[in-house]
Amino acid sequence: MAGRSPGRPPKSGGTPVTNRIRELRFHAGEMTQQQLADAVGVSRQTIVAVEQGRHAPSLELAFRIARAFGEPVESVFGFDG
Amino acid sequence: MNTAATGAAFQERSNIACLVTTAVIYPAILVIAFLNPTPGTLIGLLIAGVVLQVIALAVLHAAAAVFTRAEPDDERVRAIAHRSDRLGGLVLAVGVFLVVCLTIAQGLAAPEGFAPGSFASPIITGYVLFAVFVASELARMAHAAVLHRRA
Repeated sequence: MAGRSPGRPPKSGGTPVTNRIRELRFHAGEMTQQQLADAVGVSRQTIVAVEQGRHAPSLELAFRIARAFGEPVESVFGFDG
Repeated sequence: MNTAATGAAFQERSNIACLVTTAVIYPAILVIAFLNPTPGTLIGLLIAGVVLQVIALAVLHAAAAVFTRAEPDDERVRAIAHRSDRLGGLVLAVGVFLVVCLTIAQGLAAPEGFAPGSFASPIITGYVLFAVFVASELARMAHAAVLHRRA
């Protein structure tokens, strides 16, 4: 992932923080958004918003999500600003 | 895989319930009290309105709790509350400033032959202040409702 921001580009009006959550959920045995939300202690709506680039997660939440996938945070999130 | 549109969380339903009950009850109280400006009208209607809203909110929240999964009050919900609070505060500040202007204008304006301040009405000032408070709450909750969908 070095050299480019991971994940989908932000929607217009969204955050410049990109992510690979959708892809990582797929590779984690079709993990649902609710399962990920439960794993990191937030609501499913928050996972949806982060995944769709509408909400920039806090540093703590970003680390929690990365840990849930067993990935370093920089491979899950990128910055497209 | 669950990537469909978001279902409303309890916090979102709660906000909508507060928005709807406030939008229905308090403007109606203001209109009725303004058309019937008898002593105690606003106070009496306010007490009835608060009781009515408490009952309505209890019913609506109970229904929301039954049909909605409990969700943690996480950073996104707090961010939405923060942003909508700012808008509500702005509406309140602008409204209070306009009420101050209205009060001063009431004190200064007087037809010929009357002393300045003769037509100053604390009742009208009170009604407008209450309307400003209701408007700021409606703005705050409406903004939160939009942010729950978009943010």
